[in-house]
This record gives sequence, C-alpha cells and structure tokens, in this order.
Amino acid sequence: MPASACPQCGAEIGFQSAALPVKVCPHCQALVMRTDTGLSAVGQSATLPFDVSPIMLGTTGRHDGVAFAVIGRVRWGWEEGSWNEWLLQFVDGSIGWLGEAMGAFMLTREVAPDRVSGPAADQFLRGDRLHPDDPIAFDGKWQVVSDIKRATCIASEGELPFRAQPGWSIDSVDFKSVTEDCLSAQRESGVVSFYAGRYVRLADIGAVGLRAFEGWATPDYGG
Amino acid sequence: MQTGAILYLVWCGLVVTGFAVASSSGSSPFATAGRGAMHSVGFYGPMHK
Amino acid sequence: MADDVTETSFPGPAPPSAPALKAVTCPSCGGSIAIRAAGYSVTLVCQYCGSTLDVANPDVRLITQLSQAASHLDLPLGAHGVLQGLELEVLGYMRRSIAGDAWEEYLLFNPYEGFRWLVRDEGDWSLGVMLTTLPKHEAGSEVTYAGRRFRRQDAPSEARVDYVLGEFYWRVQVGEKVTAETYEGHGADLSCERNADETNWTLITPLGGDVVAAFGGRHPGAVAGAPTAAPSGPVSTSGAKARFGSAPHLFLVGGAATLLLFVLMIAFSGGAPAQTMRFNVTPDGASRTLTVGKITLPRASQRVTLTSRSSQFENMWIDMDYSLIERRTQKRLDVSGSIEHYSGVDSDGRWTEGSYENRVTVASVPKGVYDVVVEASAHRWSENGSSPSTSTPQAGWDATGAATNDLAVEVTSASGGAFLGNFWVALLLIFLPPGVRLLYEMRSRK
Repeated sequence: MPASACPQCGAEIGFQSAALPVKVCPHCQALVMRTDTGLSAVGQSATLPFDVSPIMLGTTGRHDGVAFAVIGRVRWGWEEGSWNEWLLQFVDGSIGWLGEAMGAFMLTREVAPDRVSGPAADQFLRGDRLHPDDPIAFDGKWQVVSDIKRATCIASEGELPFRAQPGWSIDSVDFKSVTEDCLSAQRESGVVSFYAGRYVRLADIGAVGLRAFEGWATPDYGG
Repeated sequence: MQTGAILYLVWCGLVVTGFAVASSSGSSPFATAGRGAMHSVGFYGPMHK
Repeated sequence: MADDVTETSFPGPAPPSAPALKAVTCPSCGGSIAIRAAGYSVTLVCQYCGSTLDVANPDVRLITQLSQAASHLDLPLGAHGVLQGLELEVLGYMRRSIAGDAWEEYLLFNPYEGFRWLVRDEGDWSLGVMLTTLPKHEAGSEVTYAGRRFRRQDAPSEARVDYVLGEFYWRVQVGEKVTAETYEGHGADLSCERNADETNWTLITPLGGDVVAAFGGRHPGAVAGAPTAAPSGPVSTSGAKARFGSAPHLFLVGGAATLLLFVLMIAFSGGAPAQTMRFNVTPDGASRTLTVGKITLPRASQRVTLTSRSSQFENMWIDMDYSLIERRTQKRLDVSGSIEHYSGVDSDGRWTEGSYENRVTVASVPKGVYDVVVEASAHRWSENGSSPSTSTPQAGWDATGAATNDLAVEVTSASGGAFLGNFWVALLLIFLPPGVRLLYEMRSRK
C-alpha cells in the first residue's frame, strides 16, 4: 500500500501542509492522522450538508500582506443553527481560521492566553458562564461578549490541526469591539484557547477562487 | 391609524374644548381684571344719578 | 516525514457552478420550496401553507403546521434585484410592530456579500446592514459609529413579530419580541435590538427609487383578485420615525382644530347689547363720575369689555376708574385704565406715544344686572422737550356748552366675545406638536 493511501479505503490522499496532522479522506471521509510511523484512521467525519458558502477548499487570499490558501473546514452546529470554520494556511507556514456566520467573516489566529485579560477572561478560564456584553481585553483593548454557544462538530473536510470527530463539543464565545477587532474563545475539556483577529469582508482579503453559483455573478475581489 | 396621530387628535380636542369652556364663561388669564376683583360694596350702595 | 507530496488543491480550470438552491418539499402541504441560503437558514415558513419548517439540518422537519392561503408579496420570495449596485435575492418577509404600529421587512441575501434588510415603513424604503463593529456609547443617549453621531430620541420599546414568510437565519416565530431602540443620525439611523441572548446593531439608510420595480415585483392594486393572506400593500405605518404621525398629517388636523376655534369665537361673540355714554372732562379739573348704563349679563359667567375713546389731545392723560355694581347682591368690581397720548421733538425728530382709546376686559363676571359707573379725571403732563398739552375741539361730538379745551370721552360697555389671548394660546398649543415634528423631520433629513 503506498505510503499516501487512505488506511480505510485505499484511495490516494496527499497532505499539502507540512505540519497539519489530520486529513479527511475525500473519498470515504475517514479522519486520517499522519505520524512518524505513517497514516492511521482515527475517526470518521460525516458528509457535509449542502450550503451556499462562497469559500471552498482552494480559495486564496491575502491578509495583512500575507497570502493564504483555504485547506480545511470544520462545520460546527449549535441549538440555533450552524456555521463553518475554514482553516487557512499562510505562505509563511502559519495557520489561521476564517469563521463564517450570518454572512460575516472573522479572520483569527491563535494567541497566547497572557494577551487576554479582564472579567470575561477570568470567568471563562474558571469555567464560569459568560453573558452578553461581559468585557474582555486583548492586548489592552476592550471587547465585549457578542454570543455564546455550545458547539458540536458536525462534519469536516480537508486538512486540520485536530481530530474533528463529529459529536465533539466545545464552548465557544465570540467578542466584538468598537473597531473591526474581534476575539473568539474556546473551551474544551478544560483546555482554553483564544483566537484574535478582525472582521473582514471578502473584498478585504482579496478572495480569489470563490465558489460559483448558478444564477449569480462571481465577484472578482483579487487585487 | 397611528397612535401618535390619535394622541394628537385628543390633544387638539382638549385644547378646543378648553377654549370653548373659557369662551363660554368669559374666563382668561389675559383679562385686565377678573372676578377676583369683586368685593362687597358695603354700605356705599350703588351710585345712581 | 514520508510525504512531501505536492498534490495541489489549487484548482486549475474553474470548477463548475454549484447550485444555489436546495429544493425541498413542504412536509405539510407538499408544495415545492427552495432553500436559498442553505447552511445559513434555520427556519422556513412555507409560502403556500404558512407552516414553519426547521431547515437547519439536511432533513426538513415540520415545526408548526398551518393551512393558510398562498400569499402575495410585493417583492416575491426568490426575486432578484439590484440595490446600490449589489445584486440581492429575497429570502424572507416579516411584519413587525411596536405598540400596534406596523412595518414590513424583507431579508435579502447575496452569497458573497451576506445579508441585508429592506424595510418598508409608510411607503418609505430603507436598507439595513448588520454591524460587525459596536457603536461607541457617548454621554447621554448618543453613540458614534464610523465617525458619525447618532442620538436616541425615544425610550426603548418592544417590537413584536406579527407575520413571517420565507427563510431566516434564526428561529423566528410570530409573537417573538425584542427590545428595540433607534438612534437617529444625519441621513441614517442605527437600530439596536436586544433579547436575552444577544444584541444586534443595524445601520439603516433611506432608499430612493422604485424598489418594487427593481425586484420585478408588482405594485399594490396591480394584482386583481389575488387571494391574499397578507395585505398586498403597505401596512399601516410606523417605525420610530412615523410613529407619531408625519408633520403634514398633523398640520391638517391642527388646521381643522383652528377652524373650530374660529367657529367657537363666533358662537360666543354675542352678549348683552352695548351701552354707550358720552361726557366731557376738564384737564386738571374736577373728576367726572357717571353711570354709563345698566348691563344685564345673561350667562352664568362671561367676559365684559369697557372701552373708552376720547377726542384728540397731546401730553395729557385721563384716568378711567370703572365699577360694575350688581344691583341685587351689591357686589362691586373695580377696574382701572387710562387714555394717554404724548408727543414731542427730540434729536431723532418728532415722537408720539399712546393712543386715544382704552379698553379693559373683565373675565368671568357672574350673571346679574350691573350698573356701569365710571369716574374720569384728566391731567396735563409737562416735561422738558415736550410740546405743551393741547386738545382739539371736539368736532362732530355733542359739546354740551363745556369749555373749549375739555376732552370728550365716550365709554362703551359690552359683554361676550372671546379673549384674543385665549385664542393665541390655543393656537400655539395646537401647532406646537406638529411644529416640533416638522423641526425634527427637517433635522433628520439632512
């Protein structure tokens, strides 16, 4: 069996990134993890439901001068709906997330917890409940809670930094500020991570290679 | 009809009614003198010619 | 590492267009409906039967079953239109109201640009976009956003969803309430809507042009005999701006009220017939006291006017002391006035001051028979720079053999009529609200 074959179905899968550990087999949706010893099946993704997201694997763009490509996606659901988190691979090797909900996009990267402070941060780290408008500071600038969700992984595709097993649940809180700056906090099994960035529109990130839809003119944001 | 327009109609009704009542009884704060200037004549009596 | 495979997922040729719609069958009525914002939409109210469907998951679930008649919308679901250069598709329609004053909202969608709101309120259209940035609270009820100031004029009010049709990205239902505040600015408003779980800010700007035509929809009245579950035209009014009525409407009502005022003034103008008495008075001479006449006041309470007119003079004044004495109760009402006229010459030329008439009005005089008694005394006035006091011989008046420099005075008593002061106050009160409304509309129209 070739070293790049899916352990479950044998199809040829290849990793684009240098360091991301997990890939969803495009053929059988097995979650495949690569280690020093090779590839192993570590779970099963579900089929992604049909949606009209303009982003797809292979979409490219630029953020703060650095080019990126979309190489993975996790679809999260909660009581009141669901949304996509697209994984971005920057040309400098770093990764970021493009969260998409209600037609707005949050482009964030993981940041060290010591850059986050304030009442909401303390509460979240302790495991307490947060409420809308609770304040948090990132790099000294204030933001407030804009929504709180208990999110469950529905399905995923492409390459991912974690094992996105459907059913995996996390607490997710988003923050807004008086500028375009935004923050996202996640807590799962006691582990807390923070992602900071900005609200962007597709034009702001010069998105190219967007999905085309019947009956819609595909805009050209490249620039 | 908008509640605001109804409120305004009621307001106009009140103003007009107030004006009607004041006019029918000849009341006004703008008079040179009012009924309050009335007093008993005492023993002076009416001054006939 | 085993893999340095460079399988590219950067597409070469453009992939084929994906379908934009997901066709589903309504579990309740079997009608075929399309989900136009699949992946975002959570709730869909069937346009054929009104049933509420859960479309958050690939399998469509029936939440509430209804069997309404198919409804007509001015902007049909699924219609495409271009607003401000952006192509948008109609996803859903809502009617909402605050304290019974209703307006309409259309949810619009573009897969690349997201959602927009189209609001129709009293025939006026505006376009709303949800903010991803929070406005900054300033002192009082002001906020700033994108360098513009917005001010809240009214207290927060409760907005209720009255009617829903089509697709939405939250679990909307009839009866749902949010606390809504509108912050008004120049050429745009900010709407803040809160419920227990979230706060949403929307920037709303007025839209001109024929919006219905832009979406290829039909105007109200153009569809004859169409069965309607919802009215096919603009619903009776509102939104914070028009909630209190627009200025032209209010001015119309105010005009009608003013007409009523005039009618009332005429109605109450009658009273006891006027009585007049003429007499002469000597300047710096003895005062004259006489009974002008008897006046019978018929109403429980009325206005009485006492008017005195004199022949012409300069630099003199006549003190007028009037008394109304009721015959039966012996109650007496005293009121004073004066007739004065002065003139002279100074550095600016000739000046004059005063008039040859004096009118006093008495309010709320009780019913009864009154003797009107007048005491008049005339005086000369002199000062540096004034002309000497003179009087004109009373041409045309009865001179009863009095000295030629006597002043002739004519006193008239009358009852009824309306106080002009009352009229002006009433007029002011009537036009205050529409005046304020007009100022307000002019200010926010800039």
